[in-house]
This record gives sequence, structure tokens and C-alpha cells, in this order.
Amino acid sequence: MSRLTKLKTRKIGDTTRFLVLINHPMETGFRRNKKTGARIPAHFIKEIVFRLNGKPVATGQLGIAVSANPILILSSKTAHSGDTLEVSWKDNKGESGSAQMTIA
Amino acid sequence: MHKQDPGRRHFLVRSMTTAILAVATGAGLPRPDRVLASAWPTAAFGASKEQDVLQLLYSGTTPAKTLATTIDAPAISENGLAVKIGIKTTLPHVQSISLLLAGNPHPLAMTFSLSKEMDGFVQTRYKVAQPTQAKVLVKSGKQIYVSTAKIDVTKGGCGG
Repeated sequence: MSRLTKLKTRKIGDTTRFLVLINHPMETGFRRNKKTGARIPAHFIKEIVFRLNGKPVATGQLGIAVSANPILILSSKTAHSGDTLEVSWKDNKGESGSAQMTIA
Repeated sequence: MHKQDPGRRHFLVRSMTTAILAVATGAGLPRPDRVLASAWPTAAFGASKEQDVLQLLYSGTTPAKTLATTIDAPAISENGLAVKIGIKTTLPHVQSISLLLAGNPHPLAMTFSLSKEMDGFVQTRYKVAQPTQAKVLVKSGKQIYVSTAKIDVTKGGCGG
């Protein structure tokens, strides 16, 4: 199953913000099914990598505390118009996703 | 056909070793050209005490207090399921930024490794189980810097 991964940038002064939205439940593993009482197994994004022109520039290791459907924002002063920005992530169940764009 | 020039083979092996050495040397520099992420730190994310996380991530280095890092979070949140926390630091040579939420079952929320292309900025939403102190650790050069902020929630974001 592929999950929606949306990537966009926003120019603020001389910096470029990288915004990524991932449709992901970010299940903690603490919640229980209210009817059966069974624990809902943990399901969360573990790692997210940002690449600028193919080069990894930021790697995030995430825990269960990150909210569901996270919007993650980073910032760069060296990203320029025409650069290729790519984001890819993987979760604890082996699911993954990615998105790519050219900075406007 | 199978007889290869031994000189050529030797050259190939030698140049490969040089390439590996070059990568290994690069890893020790204070500000990496590219982020060399280690494996997901299972023990640090699984730890339930803040001190244990600090010990596991920074092997006991005492963090220095700094005012150069700001933690932008609402003074009080009604919904602990999605508390927006923006972290910004003006410290030089930022290598990594980590967030600890002491009141959560597992305090370590995230850790970001950043290369020199990136600014010291990470913002997203977090689950906050109870009113707590958020602790941001920034690795700059060989030093660890810490900043704290109070996060207040009226309804926790963990459990069912």
C-alpha cells in the first residue's frame, strides 16, 4: 500500500523551507481496540531522508511521539531554484514512500 | 582469455581502498559534507528515562545551557495528540537536533542529522502525554547544547 507523500517548498527571505506531508497513522502501540481490548500494534515512520540534488542533506530518526499525518518542516539557505529536492521515508513495518520536486 | 594483467587488478584494489579511506576520514570531520546517518537508535527510543536517553545518545557528555536555541510551542494545548513544536537554533556547525519530552512513556521524540546545507530548524507536531518540559539538544561541533520549554496540555496524547 502506498501512502501519500507530498513535498513542497516555500521561500522565506533568503531561506527555503522544505515541507513534507505524509499520510501515516503513527500508531504508538499503546492504544487498545475499545471493543476487544487488544493492543493496536505500533506503526510509525522511523527514518526520513531529504536529498538535495541527490546528496543526503538531512536525516531524521523519528519515534512514536510524532503525530499522525505529520507535516515536517526543515529549512535551507543553500537550496536554489532549479535544484532537485527528494524526500524518502520508511516505517517500522517496512512500508516506504517518497516524493520528488524541482524547486521553483 | 582468463589471464588478466595482474598490475591492473592490483591497481583496482588499491584505488578502492583509497576511496574507502577517504570516506572514513570524512566521517570524523566536525561538520560533515553529507549526513552519515547511523542506524535507528533502538535503545535510545525505547528508553523510559530522560537520563538514559542522554547517556545513550551523547555517552554522558554534559550539555551546556544555551539561549541560541528557541523552542516555539503553544503555552497551553487542548489536544495533546498534535502539539506543534518548532525548533530553531542559531548555533554554528549544527550536526544534529534532538527533542526529548520527559512526560512521554518514551522521552526521545526525534533526532535529526543535518548537513551544512541545512539551517538549524525542525518543526512538526508531536503527541504529548502530559504537561511536561521539552528539552532540545543541539550538537554543535563537539559540544552538546540544551534548551528547555514548558509544554502544557489539558488532554494527553497517548493511550486510548
